[in-house]
Amino acid sequence: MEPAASHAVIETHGLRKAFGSVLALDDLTLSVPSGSIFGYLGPNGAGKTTTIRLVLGLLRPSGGEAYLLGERITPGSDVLSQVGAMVERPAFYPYLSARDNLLLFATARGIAPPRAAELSDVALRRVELADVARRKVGGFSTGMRQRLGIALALLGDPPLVILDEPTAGLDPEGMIDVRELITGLARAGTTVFLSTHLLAEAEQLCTQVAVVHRGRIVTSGPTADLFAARQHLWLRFATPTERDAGVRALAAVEIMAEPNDAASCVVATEPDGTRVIRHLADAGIYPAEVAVRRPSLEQLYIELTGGHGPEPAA
Amino acid sequence: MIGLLRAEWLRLRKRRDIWLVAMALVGLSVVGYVSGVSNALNIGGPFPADFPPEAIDQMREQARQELLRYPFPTSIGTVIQNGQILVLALLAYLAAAITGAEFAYGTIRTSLVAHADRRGFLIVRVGAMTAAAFLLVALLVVLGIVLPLAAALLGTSLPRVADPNIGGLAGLVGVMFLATCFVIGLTTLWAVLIRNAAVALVLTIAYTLIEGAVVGLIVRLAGEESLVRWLLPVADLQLLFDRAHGGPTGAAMPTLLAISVGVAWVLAIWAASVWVLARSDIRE
Repeated sequence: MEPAASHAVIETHGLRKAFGSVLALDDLTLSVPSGSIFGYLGPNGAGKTTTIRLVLGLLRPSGGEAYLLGERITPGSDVLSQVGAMVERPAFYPYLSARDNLLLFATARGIAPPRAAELSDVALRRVELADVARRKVGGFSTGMRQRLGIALALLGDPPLVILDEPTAGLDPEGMIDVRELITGLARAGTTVFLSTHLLAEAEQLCTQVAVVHRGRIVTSGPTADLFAARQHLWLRFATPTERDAGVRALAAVEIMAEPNDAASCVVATEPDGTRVIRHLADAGIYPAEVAVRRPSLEQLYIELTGGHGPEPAA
Repeated sequence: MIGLLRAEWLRLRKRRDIWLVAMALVGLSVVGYVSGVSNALNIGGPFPADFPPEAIDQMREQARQELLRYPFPTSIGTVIQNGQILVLALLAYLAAAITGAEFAYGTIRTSLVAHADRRGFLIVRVGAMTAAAFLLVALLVVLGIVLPLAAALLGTSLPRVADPNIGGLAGLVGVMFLATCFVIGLTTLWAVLIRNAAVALVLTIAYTLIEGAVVGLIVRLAGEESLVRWLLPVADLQLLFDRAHGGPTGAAMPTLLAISVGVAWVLAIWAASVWVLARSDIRE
C-alpha cells in the first residue's frame, strides 16, 4: 500500500514536552503522509501518547510546533474537529448508553441530532456493538470499551484517524476485526496514525513507521525501505572449507562476506544476490543455499532502541 | 455552541443525582414548612389551666408572629430561607461531582477531542449548572406559592399578611441566585484546579470557614464599621441576605456596591475557571 498523496497530514518540528524535570519528548520531528497507515512504535513510556496528546491539543508543547492537516495546532484549534481519535484507554460516561455516549460527542462536534444519531448507529455497527447500543457503558468489558473508542474515532468518517493501542484489551478475533477495519479505512483514503507496541501488528498494517525512543525519533520512513536498508544476503555452503573459499573469492572483487557459522556467511552490502552468485560461479564455487534475509520489525526495533526499556531523556 | 448545549443537556439530564437533588430539595422544603407551621400552631396553645395569662398572651403573640412566616407571599421567603444552606450545599456537590467526574472518568479528554474549544466547554458547563441553580431557586419559589395553598386545602388556618415586603422577597430570590452562581463558580474552579470532586467540595467549605476567620480578623483590626470585610465574597453575600430579610447589617455598605461586589466575584471566579482549564495540560 502506497500513500495516496504525498502531503503530510501530521507534521511536528522540534516538538518538546517536559513534565517538571522529566523531558518526555525532545526535538521530535515527524511527518505523516496523507493516505498512509503510519505506525508509531516505541516501548511503554517512550513518548507515544505524549506525542498524540500534543498533536490533539490536549497538552501544551514546551517547545517546537505541531501541524495537523496543514494548520498549526493550539488547544482549541478548529482543525481538531476533522480528526477522529482514541487516546489511551477510551473514556466514556458510565451512566450513559454506548449510543448516547456517541450521540453526545457527535452533537458536541456540532452535528445535528438526527444526523448524529444516524452516524452513531453506523459507527456502532462497524465495531459490532449495535446489539448492546442501549446498554450503559459502565457495564462494558475492556474490549467493548475499546471497540466503542474506535467507533467514536470513526464517527463521521474523518480524514485522519489517530488510534492509540487500538487492539489493547481485545481478543484475537477482535484484533483481526480492528486490523481489517484499519486496512479498510486506508483503502477508503483515510490516513491512520497507529500508535502501538505490537510490532507484528505494525509490520502487517503500516505503510510507514517511525520509532520513538526516550522521547526522540530514532528512525522513520516507509516500512519497506526500513527493511530494505537492513536486509542481507545469506549463503550456506556444503563445507566450511568451501565457505572460506567463497569468502576469499568475494573479497577479491571487493564484496565483504562475514562468516556466520560453520558453513555459512552473510553479505550485508549486497541485498541482491545476482552479483554475488555470478562472482562465486566465476570462481567455480556454488553455494548450497542462498536467501535474502531481512530482520523482523522486532529485531529492527531492538536494534534501534538498543533493546532498552523506557527512560526519560533527561 | 448549540452543539455543546445539546451535548450538555444529554449529559446532565441522564445524571440521576441531579434528579435526586431536586427531589431532596422538594422533600426537605415540604418537611421544613409543615414542621414550621405545626410548631407555630403548638406555641399558640392549648395551655394548662394554671398557666399565667400574661404568659399565654405572650405565647399567642409569638405564635402569631411565627405563623406570619407561612402564608403567601411571605412563605416564599420562608421556604428560600429554610432551603438556603441546602440549595447551596447541593449545588456545591453537583458542581464538584459534575466537573470532577470529567477528570475521574477521563471524559475530559474525550470531550476535548470531540470539541476542542475548552472555553466553550466550560462556559456551557457552568452555564448549564447556573440554569440548574436557577431552576432550583424557581422550585423553591413555586413551593413557597404552593405550600400555603396546600395548607389551606388541608384546613390549616393561616393569618393574612397585611403588608408583604415584595421588594425584599425579590431581593432574596436575586441574592439566592447570586449565591448559587458563586458556589458553582468557586467549586468549579477548585475542580479544574485540583481535578478531584471530593477535594473540590472540601475546599469550597474550607474557603467559607477561612473567609469567616479572615473577616473576624479584619473586624478586630479595622473595626466593626470597616467596609473592607464586605469586599470578601461570602461576607458580601451574607450582607445581601441580611438586607433582603430587612436586617440592619453593614449599614455603611451601600446595597448597590454590595451587589456589584458579589457580581464581580462571580464573574472573576468563572473567568478564572475558564482560564485555568484553557491553559492546563489534559493528562487524564
